[in-house]
Amino acid sequence: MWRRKHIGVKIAGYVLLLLLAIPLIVLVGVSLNPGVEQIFPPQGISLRWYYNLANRSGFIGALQLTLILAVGSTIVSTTIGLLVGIALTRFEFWGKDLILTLILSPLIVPQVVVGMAFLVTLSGLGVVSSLLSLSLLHCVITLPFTARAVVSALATSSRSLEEAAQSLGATPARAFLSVTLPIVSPGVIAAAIFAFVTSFENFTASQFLVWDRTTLPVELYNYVQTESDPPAAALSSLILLPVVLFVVVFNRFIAQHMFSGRL
Amino acid sequence: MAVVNIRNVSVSYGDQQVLNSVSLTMESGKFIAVLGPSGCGKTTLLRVVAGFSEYSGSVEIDGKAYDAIPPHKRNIGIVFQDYALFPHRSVEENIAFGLRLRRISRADIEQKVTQLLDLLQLQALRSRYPSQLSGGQRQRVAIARALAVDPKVLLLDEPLSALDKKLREEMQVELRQLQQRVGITTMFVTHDQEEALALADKVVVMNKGNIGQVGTPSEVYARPRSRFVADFIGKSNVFEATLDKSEGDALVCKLAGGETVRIARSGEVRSGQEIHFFVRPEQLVLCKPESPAADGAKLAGIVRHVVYKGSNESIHIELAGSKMVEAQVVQSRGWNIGDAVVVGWNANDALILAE
Repeated sequence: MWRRKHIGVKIAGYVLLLLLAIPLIVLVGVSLNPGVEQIFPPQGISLRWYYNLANRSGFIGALQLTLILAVGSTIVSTTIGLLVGIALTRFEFWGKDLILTLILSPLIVPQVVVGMAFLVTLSGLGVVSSLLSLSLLHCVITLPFTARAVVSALATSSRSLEEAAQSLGATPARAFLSVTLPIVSPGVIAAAIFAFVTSFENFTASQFLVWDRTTLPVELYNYVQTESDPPAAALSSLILLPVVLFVVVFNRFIAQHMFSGRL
Repeated sequence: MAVVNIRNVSVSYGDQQVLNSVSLTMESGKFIAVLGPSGCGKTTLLRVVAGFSEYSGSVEIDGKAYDAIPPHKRNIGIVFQDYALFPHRSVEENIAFGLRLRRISRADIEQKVTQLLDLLQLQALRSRYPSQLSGGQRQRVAIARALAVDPKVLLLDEPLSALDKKLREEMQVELRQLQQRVGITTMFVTHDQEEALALADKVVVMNKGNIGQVGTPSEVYARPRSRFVADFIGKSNVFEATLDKSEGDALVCKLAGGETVRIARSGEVRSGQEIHFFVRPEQLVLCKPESPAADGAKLAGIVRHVVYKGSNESIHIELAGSKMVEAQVVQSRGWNIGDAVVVGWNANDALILAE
């Protein structure tokens, strides 16, 4: 009886997974079509549309901008997240909860509103959309992930570890770097990957701040508004890539070590 | 070897006074147990010595004021309650941590680590990680790590509380032997009075941010100065009485119910004074109603509860006025619940409490 129930649960699980994956599988399949028809299963396997993408300067430019934004905002928001995390967990001061709530608010506030708010504020200040304003937006959007991960990693690492290091002769800064940082680093790395993916695939807020240069998701959206051919599918499949990488890295590398405290 | 002088140290968090002008001297090479219930300020006192807690007053080590010296320059070893081993470093790396910060040559570090691994019998575990060690092993690593930098003083914050009873008793012996071999001035914070009595050269009993009594284990056990100390160290039966007169070496007094008892003479007392005195459970003498009782008292009671403890038994007895006392007897005479019993004591085992 139990065994049968078990099998039922398993089957339900696999069906659910398949349902989640089907649109993505179809998308990748379509992008591999050698012809112009968008059909699934593909009538052969060809990377034709991927090469086609490479020859369109618009997509290449968008990819460049997207990567610059993703790398830059990951570095900045991980650094700020780390500093904020240290401040919030190691020091007592007025307004701690308020600061954390503010930092986490982009998670709750709809991205349309965040993007709109940026647009209105920046144009009010007379600032033209540029790489700088878009970078700022992406830092704000990714900061909740890094700050929250750092805060929770630091909160669980015992204070007595740093005190033990200090009693052995390490300065407070040295104690943090050689004891606490290695322990929280799996959490911080996971947060950085999350920030990267969040920035890389952000569309909703970014579309308000693009100028003559756009990001890859915005470019894709603009493209499918007028055309609907395999290059769009190929581009979508490419955007999937960092997400898949993220999941693989997270499972294989981070999740395993996350709780042993070793990396 | 170092002498630690703590003078008028006070600590408060907000309006809560955690330490109230505490003064204490730790003699060189001695093992001092700071004993008290949770929240009495004992861990705060340890953190003051380590430099982790802000305080007013002064801490001197070997005559030098330490108040302005930050923790990392104090050279004081600490073993935390949770051991605080670095989880990402092996046993060897944990022990070598303090040595590496001191720019000591690789060969010297290696030698010192090996020496400590030998001292604490950790040779076989040198490349393991803390998560692969048992509680007792972790504790030994924490001690080795603290001792590696040749600290002036060793501070132990309830290091045995996480171990099970049998291991705890083994580690008590080991810890004491180790401390004597190394000869380091040691402060040991604990809430376990048996542990404090078993290990320490000197016991400091704390309560509510104050030091209640300082003395050798036998002094604080046999001559507690206050009701708190008497209650906290070992069990005690406390009685209220009114003094009547002195009679040779004993004082005669009356209990609330009117019974006349005799207790040990001590200090200046006057007739009619209200006093408290106590008798340890093992010093209560139980006998059957018709047999001759001890010289101090003859109080009728009824056995209400018997707890068998292997080598001894504790008998809970209800006296007149619902007063409960506990007696500890080595060999049971077969007391059963409901038996009528006479409780007595020798006058010199009943001691007056100061407050």
